[in-house]
Amino acid sequence: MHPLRKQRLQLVILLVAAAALVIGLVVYMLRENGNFFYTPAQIVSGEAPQSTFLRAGGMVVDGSVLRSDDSLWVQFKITDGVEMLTVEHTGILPDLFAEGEAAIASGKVDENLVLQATQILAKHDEKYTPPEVADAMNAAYKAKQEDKKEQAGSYK
Amino acid sequence: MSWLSRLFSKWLPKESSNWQWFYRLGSPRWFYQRSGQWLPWVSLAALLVLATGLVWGLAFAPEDARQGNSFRIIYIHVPAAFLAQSGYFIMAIAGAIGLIWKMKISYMVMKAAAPIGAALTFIALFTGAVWGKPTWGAYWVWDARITSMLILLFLYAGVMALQYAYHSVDAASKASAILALVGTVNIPIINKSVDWWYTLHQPATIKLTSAPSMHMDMFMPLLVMIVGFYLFYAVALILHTRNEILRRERKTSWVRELATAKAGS
Amino acid sequence: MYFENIPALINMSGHGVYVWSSVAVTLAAMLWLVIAPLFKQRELLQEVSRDIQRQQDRELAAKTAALSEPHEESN
Repeated sequence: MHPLRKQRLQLVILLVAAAALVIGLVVYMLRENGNFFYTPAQIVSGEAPQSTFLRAGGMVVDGSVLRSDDSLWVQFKITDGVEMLTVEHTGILPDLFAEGEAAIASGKVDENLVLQATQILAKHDEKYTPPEVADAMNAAYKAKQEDKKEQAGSYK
Repeated sequence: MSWLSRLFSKWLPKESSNWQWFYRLGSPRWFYQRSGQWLPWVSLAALLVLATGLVWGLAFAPEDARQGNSFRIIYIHVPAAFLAQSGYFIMAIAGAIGLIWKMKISYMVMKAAAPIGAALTFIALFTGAVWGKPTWGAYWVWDARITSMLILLFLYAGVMALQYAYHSVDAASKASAILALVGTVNIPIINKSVDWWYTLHQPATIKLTSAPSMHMDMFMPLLVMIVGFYLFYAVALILHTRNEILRRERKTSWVRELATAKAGS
Repeated sequence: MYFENIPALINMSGHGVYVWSSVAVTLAAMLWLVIAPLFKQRELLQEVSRDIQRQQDRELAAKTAALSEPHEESN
């Protein structure tokens, strides 16, 4: 083959391969995020398939987290505001996992409609605060809430 | 691309004194000599600023209330990700200048910017993965921000590969410049990915339009680190560009004189 | 310093592994970005001066050959 044509052919192959790789990645990403993703309501109503791998996302319900004393087993409930889904997991939870925060659990739903999660992900926001500032802010927030309660009481 | 350069050359009188600096900047010899004078100062500044920012961020800044100390990775993750994107713009703009004005030096800057940008993208991805494990619960997730950063790494690699795909330097430069320009669409995608899709990655902490959503004690060292990374980028870009000049101008008398002077000393 | 002592700074209440490995990889990559081109520059300049040397040697050889030729004829 003519060297120049060979060079052009190589270039075309390279570009096609690169484009295929990029498209593949994007499709994979969208599938990972889309297809397997269910809300707690969809799972509790039985809409989501059982014993296939899926993901569920929602807010961790306040006071629902139960931990085992002698193992890494943990149980909690997540909600989308409609239904509550029980999740069980054995392993170390991410630092950002907390009640009232968003979490994504991936695993399989068993016959009791409990999600047996193999992975728990926690999402965090863009805010960063030192612990003392966070404590002070929480204290101020609580004081304000109590003020409001008192005011509401005095109007009665 | 010759029609493009012809189009633009109408507005660019070659002998006009207003534009002389522009053409002088385009002279590899002038750039090599000048950058040799700047280099020690920029290097010193980069070293001082980076050392200050790193010690401040790692040892003196307060920890985050929810993430604890792992948040300190932000002091290298965010500046690296910043420069990975700014560096792409520098590479693409250098490529555009090369295509339009045929300025020799701009293609050399473009070629030099590719490995630096690739290394910075790698740093951003690596530190992000290490940070993600304790905070999110996974080293890697296929979310839009992370995937688009991975594509950025491939774009840099593509520009580097195209440089070697051709025998002719000119053809290689043109092909790389076109790829670099086409790839710029990825930059706004990286930026907006956290708003357009549901991502595990959090939205931007630093915005041009509003105050940072970060306590000042934590934000100041981050700002220092970003400045430090910009200075470091300048040093790396100058060093790589100088080598590219030597490689392409090795037959010229000034490089030969330089080499004999260096060999003699 | 935010930490009480150096061991606390290294440990970072359990997060030290993550933070320090990130720092180490970053610094290594950054060092490579500046040290590699410095070595490359030396190599490039040495190549050029070797080329010059070789060219000079060739010219010298050609000259001596030209000078010695008439001698051979006279012998």
